[in-house]
Amino acid sequence: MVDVLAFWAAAMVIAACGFPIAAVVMRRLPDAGAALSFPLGLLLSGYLYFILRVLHLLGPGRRDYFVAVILVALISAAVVGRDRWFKVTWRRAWPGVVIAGAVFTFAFFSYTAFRSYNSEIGGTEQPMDLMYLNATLNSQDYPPQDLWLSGERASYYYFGYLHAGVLTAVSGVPASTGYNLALAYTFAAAASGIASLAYALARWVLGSRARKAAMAAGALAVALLLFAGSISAVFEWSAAHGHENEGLYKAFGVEWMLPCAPGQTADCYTGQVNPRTTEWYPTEFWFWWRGSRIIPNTITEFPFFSFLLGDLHPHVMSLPLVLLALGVSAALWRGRSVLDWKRHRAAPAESLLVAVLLGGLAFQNAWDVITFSAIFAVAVLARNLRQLPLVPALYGAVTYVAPLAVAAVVLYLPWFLTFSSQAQGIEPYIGAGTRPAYLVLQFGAIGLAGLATAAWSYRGLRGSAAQNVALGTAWAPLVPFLGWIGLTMAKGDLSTAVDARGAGGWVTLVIYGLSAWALCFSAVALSLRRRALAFPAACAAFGVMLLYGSELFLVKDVFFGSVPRLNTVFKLSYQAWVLLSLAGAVGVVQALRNLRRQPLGIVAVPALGLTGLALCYPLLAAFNRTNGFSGTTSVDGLAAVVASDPGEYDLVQWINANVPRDAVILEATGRRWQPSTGAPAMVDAGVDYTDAGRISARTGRATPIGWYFHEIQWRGDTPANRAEFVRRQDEVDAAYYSGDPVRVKAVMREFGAEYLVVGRVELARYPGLLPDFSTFLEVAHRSGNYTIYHLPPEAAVRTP
Amino acid sequence: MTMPESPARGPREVSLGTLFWIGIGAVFVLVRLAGVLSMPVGGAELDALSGAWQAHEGHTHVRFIPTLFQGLAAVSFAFTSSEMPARFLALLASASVPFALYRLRPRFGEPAMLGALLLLAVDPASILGGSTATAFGFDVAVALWLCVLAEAKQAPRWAHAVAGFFAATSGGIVLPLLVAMAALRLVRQEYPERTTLAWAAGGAVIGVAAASLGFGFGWQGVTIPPVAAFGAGFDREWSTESTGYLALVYASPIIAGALVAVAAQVYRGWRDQEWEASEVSLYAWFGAAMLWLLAAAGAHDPAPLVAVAIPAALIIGREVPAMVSVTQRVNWQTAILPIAGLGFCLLVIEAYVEDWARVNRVGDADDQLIVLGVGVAVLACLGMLFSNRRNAGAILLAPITVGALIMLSGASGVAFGGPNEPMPSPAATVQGDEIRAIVEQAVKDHPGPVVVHASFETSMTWALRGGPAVTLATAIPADATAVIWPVTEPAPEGYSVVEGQWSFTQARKGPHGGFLPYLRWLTNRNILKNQPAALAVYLKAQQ
Repeated sequence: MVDVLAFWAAAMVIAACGFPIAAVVMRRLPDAGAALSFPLGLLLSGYLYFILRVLHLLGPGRRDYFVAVILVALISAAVVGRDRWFKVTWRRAWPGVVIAGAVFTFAFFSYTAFRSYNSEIGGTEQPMDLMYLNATLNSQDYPPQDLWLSGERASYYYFGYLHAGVLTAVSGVPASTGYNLALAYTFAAAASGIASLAYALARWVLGSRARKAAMAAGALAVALLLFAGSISAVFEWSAAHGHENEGLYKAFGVEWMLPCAPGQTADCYTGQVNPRTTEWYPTEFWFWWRGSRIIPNTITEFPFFSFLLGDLHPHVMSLPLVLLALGVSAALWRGRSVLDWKRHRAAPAESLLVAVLLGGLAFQNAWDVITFSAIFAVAVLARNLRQLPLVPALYGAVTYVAPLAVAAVVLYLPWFLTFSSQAQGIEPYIGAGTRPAYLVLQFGAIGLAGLATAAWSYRGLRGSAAQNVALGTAWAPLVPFLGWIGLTMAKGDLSTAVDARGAGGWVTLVIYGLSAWALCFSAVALSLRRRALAFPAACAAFGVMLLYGSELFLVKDVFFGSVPRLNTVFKLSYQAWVLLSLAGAVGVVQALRNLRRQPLGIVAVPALGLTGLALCYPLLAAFNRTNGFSGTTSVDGLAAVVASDPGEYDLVQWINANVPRDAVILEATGRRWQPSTGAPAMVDAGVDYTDAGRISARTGRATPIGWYFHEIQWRGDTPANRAEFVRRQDEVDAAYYSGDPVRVKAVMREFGAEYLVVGRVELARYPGLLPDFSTFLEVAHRSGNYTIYHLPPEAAVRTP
Repeated sequence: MTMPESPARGPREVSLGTLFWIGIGAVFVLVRLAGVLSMPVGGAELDALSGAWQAHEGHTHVRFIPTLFQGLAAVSFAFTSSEMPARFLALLASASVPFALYRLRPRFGEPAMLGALLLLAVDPASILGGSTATAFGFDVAVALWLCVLAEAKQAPRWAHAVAGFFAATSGGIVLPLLVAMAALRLVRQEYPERTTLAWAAGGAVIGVAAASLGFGFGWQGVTIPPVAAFGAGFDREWSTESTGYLALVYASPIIAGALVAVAAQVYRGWRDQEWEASEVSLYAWFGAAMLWLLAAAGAHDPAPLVAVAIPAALIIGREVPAMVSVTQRVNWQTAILPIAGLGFCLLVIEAYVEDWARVNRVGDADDQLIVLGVGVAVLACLGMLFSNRRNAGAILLAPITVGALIMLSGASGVAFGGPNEPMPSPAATVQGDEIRAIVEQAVKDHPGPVVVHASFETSMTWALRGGPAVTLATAIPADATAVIWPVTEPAPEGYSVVEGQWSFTQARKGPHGGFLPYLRWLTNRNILKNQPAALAVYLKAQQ
């Protein structure tokens, strides 16, 4: 409990440090950006820490995190002093500050309580996340080391892990606890952020008197973003209790939930029946996993799934940051004066802040920077259009945004120089499109809610003006489609592409296209009429365009050969979920409130209905995940290891206490070997998603090679990389099974490793092959069958 | 012509205030003198002296934090290997504290500063900071003199340079003050004059440069000592018990008192809509120090306790006039009866609870009933006191008495070097000197390397200072003359063990297990067991 309170306190203090700055930039929000102070304070602290580490002005250790936070506090103090409106802003916004803090606190402790039922850091990619968190905490120099490729720098967007590290270090909790509490922080910051943003937008749309309606928008936004899930959960529940209707299941494409017919082995449920569940919720192991794999050969993850699973991934950790980007965009859009290059001269600090934010988007999750920078740019343009004709407005926007983009790159140059993307360009998608049924199951609730922003009174829109806007915005869905045609024709695959998409896929494309057109039309028309609903409509338009775009194009990556649009759909639909949740909450509330004047607003009713169905997912999944909230609770991600394998835990603790942070440790590569006549034979080469690299991940000490395929993803699938990674695996494996002291020591010296671990994983991966290392290595620590060996120094003694 | 007669001189009058200053100032210095003479070398001091010794020997080590004090401590080793010169230096600096508080009288009031001086005199953490050779040996004095400078209407420019130099070469204790001052000035936009800033910055730059050069002991890298010391507290083991635990045991009265005083003062300020700038500065300083204490709760560093004690003492001191006024309003004729009853009841409860603490067990049902009944009587006495608003102030006596008892108990334990006091810990043992003498003799008789196990690398520095050169190893070379080895390792062949229970350091842990063990320890501080880090000494067997 002390750890939880310390983490919460750290988050609150950092948010308090960020609030004065938020109050200047987002003064127009009712709470003056209080809820978005959480990511803002953390962004500034994290950035200062990163850049000062790179410049060697800060070093490793807790102290330097505090220095970064203190610097943010002093900057905020200067801002308070120079902002002549601060007192007035405070007097207006203090209730919002209190509410933001209360929402954050409630969400933080609620999620912590939930996570405590399954706090284990294991399975899926959680060891990787822990590794990166420890890398940011333990690296002796910056940019931080890749702990799973000793001697190399991390090549990933790890800003989110750095933020988690700031909170972990400031609160003084162990990394394995900080991991879980960082999830809680992300959940809570996202909840308070979207509630605040939706409330602000609703207040602007509905007027300052519509407080209750605005609060409803805030609550709905939280529900849509953080709780709504796949409607397939309803089908899961029904099937679990034997109430399935075959026709309906087939219509929605979930026939694989139906029990297998005699002789059928594929596309059906092969698990236990009668009973299929022992509780009121489905008890099948991880049934909820399927809710994120509805569209075949893709990942359609959504925030609740992310927090349910507990992977501390960049796309999850970036939720508060993208909400901050939206908040800054909304606040800037709401301003009056023209934004151009002169603004940078008049308000350099504001420009610096925005550049830090935009660069941070790339650093935190590279997929986000284009989408949310584009939204920011459109917001700037829209603001300018209120004052200027098109061309000067565009010129002003370009001269405002371009320097920010350059500054963003310069500010984060140390990261850009060490980052190598696995993206290999954009390709047209040639394959089966998404069926409309899947569209409904996965995005029905948020999509329909987002469409509610198009339900406004079209009266007063003059005929020719409406026509011009309609024609102009029709290009929004047309251009990508034409681009897709052009690219497929260039590849000579047009007919294949047309056929492969399938009838359902074409219907989905039309739905997306028309929706995008309607929303773009709404956004532009509302903007021309200077209506506040333009911003949510634009967010919804962006959201739908992202989904539409993922049907037409994909980013080529290492999955291109097998599941080509896996990552594209994954990442873009996640962004769309954020945008449509925000827009949808405001749109639904607005539509319901003005139903009499805006009959189109009736779309909000089915939207709410689908939302209700979508809320079945978190209910069922949470109980399944936690086994009905039974079992022991802990926030330490290694608590399960303590219970199940105290010897392994003892190794970790000993290393944490006794091994220098920059030490390299040899541990099993994860490949499994067995004795055979002659050389040992490898029986299993799979190392990713296993416990390979677990010592490194848990202690923050580097190891020569961790997860092979992930290193390929991070550094590129090139022959040179493959050869190097396999070489490292071969060397480390040989050190374990060769039995040759000269070879073992040579491998250790080659990688600069002073320690060699023989624990549970090594005993399992090299059964019957391990020599008695104690005959030529020093025993540094022993715990039952597990041992840590130390390479004896070359000279027998050294003088202190 | 006759000159007018000069008026007759009357007897000299010494004011009560002056007497108090002299008396409390003497207590302040004498308590620290007791600490200088009695306290064992341990905790942060052990680490600092070890680092200073290594710097003197030409080895750079993380334990050498180049504060001015630690630099001077390293210089003192050119003349003696004793810690005493460094300790007396700390005492000298501490002796300036009463003068600093005296200079703050015009701003905060005389009773306030006397109260603050009295609190600092008996605060255990401040005693540690003011009488031992830690890296922050000058900090308490520097912090208070910085306050004097900040409150001075006109100060010569060189004073700012000196202040900048001392601030830049201090330990972490001045940091909360500096951060709070900087933040407030930024908020109020009270920027100093350029020339003042230039002088202060110049002094600071010189200080940073000197520290980076290790005060002559080698290049340390660009080092800002207060930041370095602040950070080291999180990484180093400067106490056996955690900072949070030490705060609970030693600093809870002063922290609780300061929190109550802040609440009272803030309430008055809000009620009267009157805020004094210096008052707000104190709150900011206290707030910054408390944040450090909370952040370092899991660390092993006594420095945050010292950092909190200084502003806490000033804040509580400012309540002294109010407390005196409240107690003066008490009608003692009507209040004496309930107070006497209250005291009697509390003594009865204390007797029972102390007995329970002695046997480490809550008494039987009858005893509990008696205590409960007497507790009801306590409430009745309180009710009688509160029924007359004038007399309610008398209730202050109870927490003041309890707080004073805890502080005095801690102060005496720390200042007089109680053998089982958790602060400072781990403490250097007297066997360290004996071990040094043994190995010195052995090397004299039979020259050869003195080998020490690598696990004793940090603990052996102070004990073996000035002795023969040692080599660290994890395996014993054949030609070693003397070997210092863990007792858990098998005895080396060809060596004879030196009989005795040897250790370089011993850990002194505080009472754990609840309120009763704590109460037992409070009344008898010698009941705890020390935990020496045992080692074995072997000498080459004579053939």
